[in-house]
Amino acid sequence: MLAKILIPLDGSQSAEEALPIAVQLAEAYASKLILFHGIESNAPAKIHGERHLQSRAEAEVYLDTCKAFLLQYAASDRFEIAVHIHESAIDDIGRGIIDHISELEPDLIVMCSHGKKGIRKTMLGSLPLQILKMGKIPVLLVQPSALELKLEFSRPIRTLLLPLDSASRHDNALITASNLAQHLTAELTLLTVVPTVSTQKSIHSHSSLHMPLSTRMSLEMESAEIARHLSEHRALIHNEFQNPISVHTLVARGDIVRQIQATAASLQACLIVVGTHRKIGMEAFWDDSIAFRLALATTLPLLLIPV
Amino acid sequence: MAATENDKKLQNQAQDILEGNSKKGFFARLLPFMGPAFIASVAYVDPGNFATNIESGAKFGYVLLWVILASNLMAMLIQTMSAKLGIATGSNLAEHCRLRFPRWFVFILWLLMEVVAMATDLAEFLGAAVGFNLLLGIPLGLAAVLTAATTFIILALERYGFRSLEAVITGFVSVIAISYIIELAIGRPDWSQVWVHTIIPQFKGSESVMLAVGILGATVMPHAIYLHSALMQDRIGVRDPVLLKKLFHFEIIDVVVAMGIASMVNGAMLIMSAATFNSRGMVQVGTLEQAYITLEPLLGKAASWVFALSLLFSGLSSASVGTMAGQVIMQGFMNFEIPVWLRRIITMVPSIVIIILGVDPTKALVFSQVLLSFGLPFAIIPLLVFTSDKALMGNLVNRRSTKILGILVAGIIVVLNIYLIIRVFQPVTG
Repeated sequence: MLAKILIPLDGSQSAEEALPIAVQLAEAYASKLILFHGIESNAPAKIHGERHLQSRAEAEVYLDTCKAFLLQYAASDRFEIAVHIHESAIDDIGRGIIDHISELEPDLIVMCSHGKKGIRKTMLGSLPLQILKMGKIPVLLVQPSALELKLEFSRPIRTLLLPLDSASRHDNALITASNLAQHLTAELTLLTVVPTVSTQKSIHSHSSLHMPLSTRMSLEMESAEIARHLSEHRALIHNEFQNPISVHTLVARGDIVRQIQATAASLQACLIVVGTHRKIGMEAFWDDSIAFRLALATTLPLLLIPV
Repeated sequence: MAATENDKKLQNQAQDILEGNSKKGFFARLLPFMGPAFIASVAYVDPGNFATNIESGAKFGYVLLWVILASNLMAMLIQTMSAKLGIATGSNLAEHCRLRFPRWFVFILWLLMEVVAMATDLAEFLGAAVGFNLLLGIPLGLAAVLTAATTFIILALERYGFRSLEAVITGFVSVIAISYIIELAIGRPDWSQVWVHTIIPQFKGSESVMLAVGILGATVMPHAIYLHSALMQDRIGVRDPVLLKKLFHFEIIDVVVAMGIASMVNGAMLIMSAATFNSRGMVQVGTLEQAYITLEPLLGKAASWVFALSLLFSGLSSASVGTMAGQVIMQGFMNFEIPVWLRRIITMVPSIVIIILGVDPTKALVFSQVLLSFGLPFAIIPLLVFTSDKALMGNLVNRRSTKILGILVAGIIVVLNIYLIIRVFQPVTG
């Protein structure tokens, strides 16, 4: 499933935070890790106070150093590491990465979200999300550490959380998440969040206001039905995979993003896997995209699977 | 107590009532639901109701009280039927039309219902604009700009789940609703006239017919028919017929109690307008700008700003209803969606044009409700067709009596609309 994993690096420590999890995945799938850098035209020496590569020579030294570092610290030699530097200078780094997707054919891009902050990030989406939108392949978004940066190779991925919606619009993420759980020997929790009367949005906020009693009951009925539906998913997963995967199911009530975060915290989840329609920025805002809100809110690694 | 624990408690109480397990008296049994039902009822009272009630009372006294009663009874039937369609099938009314009617007819229905959604939005927008105008003393044009900005902010905040804003808004509108009801006690209307005109249908010329049609549109609300049918939309399907029937019974409680309270509030508004304006011969002053006078017996000098605030919040709180109805209508009929912010902009245009042209806001509001009434048969007739289909509805199919009542309601609305057209054009053709 993950034959090739692409990791764009710009020389900053923030970007390097994508490496530990990429290495774990590469070990699990015997993947080829591609350390990528695109030389930006008129690249500054620093961006957001961090080093930024400016020339091909600098990039070569840097990526070779990264490669050596990874080979030294990785737990096994099951995977391969390649280095790729885009020859000519590019203005739009996001576009540059996208253009390489058809050439390098990665199955996954792992990136640390850094750069845009605050309102710009909300309105435009971070670079990884822009790449997700344009590239249409899964992106694993790693959030920058608030504390002193460390490459934590010792923390294996043992718990995956997969939020699913009640209308089954994002169920294709189930296959990916199950596959990951098997390869990583991780526990997988399937979670669906059913809103309460006060947290319903969009057209359902009307029914919350005008028909409070029947809305409450319909949400309770939905919770019960979803519990059964998730059990069916669990049974399907058990039938599909020869090596047993530990799968749990959970129905939570409340605001969807907050409940996903709360569940992830209580389970001590290492990775959240979520299906997405690749909406970012203002489009995602007006459509109330859960994946986008989660990408802005969570501090956990987030694997975004295009549906 | 957590939100869902509260929900379970309320449901258990409802369950006891439905199964006849409760030992309490009728009103005591209803008490747990009065809170949510009151909030729902306030949501049913929007600027369209304000305008039609105030103008009807001022111009015709108590004559059109029977219309309020009849409209609310009709609305109870139609709205419960609409939600029943959603409960039984998991699809909304517009989707059923698209799946079952010829394409050309679906296209016409869609266009008509888009006009209805715009008319709904017009009423809410104008109401809020007049509210700003009264409260801040600013020109109506500037009030319109402020309304546009505020509705956008509310639409955006709803994305963040700012439902507490809704509670604040509802609270303000509740003040006026309670005030009108209290005023019935202290305002001393002519109760003999009130009872007579509540029961005996009567018109007094073509303008009273138009106002009656406006009250009908403001109460039965074609856009709400489409929205109510979307109750189970995007939800996982529940097929247990016993559970669905229970859900339907809960929904009847919701609609009947909320609309019952709403009818009392609407009736009280008309009665106070009649007692304040019509009884003193002030038949031409029943506009929103002067409507605060109806609250002076209770609120004194505070009447003007309380009324203005309530009108403003009523308009703002309902602002999203037209937008949401439009989204459901477009998605259902055409299987297509536009961004909600774009819809908001489009539906604001007629309101802004009307204000720029200097059209009287109260008259425009009343006219928008008349438009809603003309849209009603195009919602009610398909609704009746689908809810009478046993294959579609299962054990929630209309009973014979419900079907007959539904046909009667549709018939009355069609006849009333045609009668209005005839009366309006009679001087031209006559």
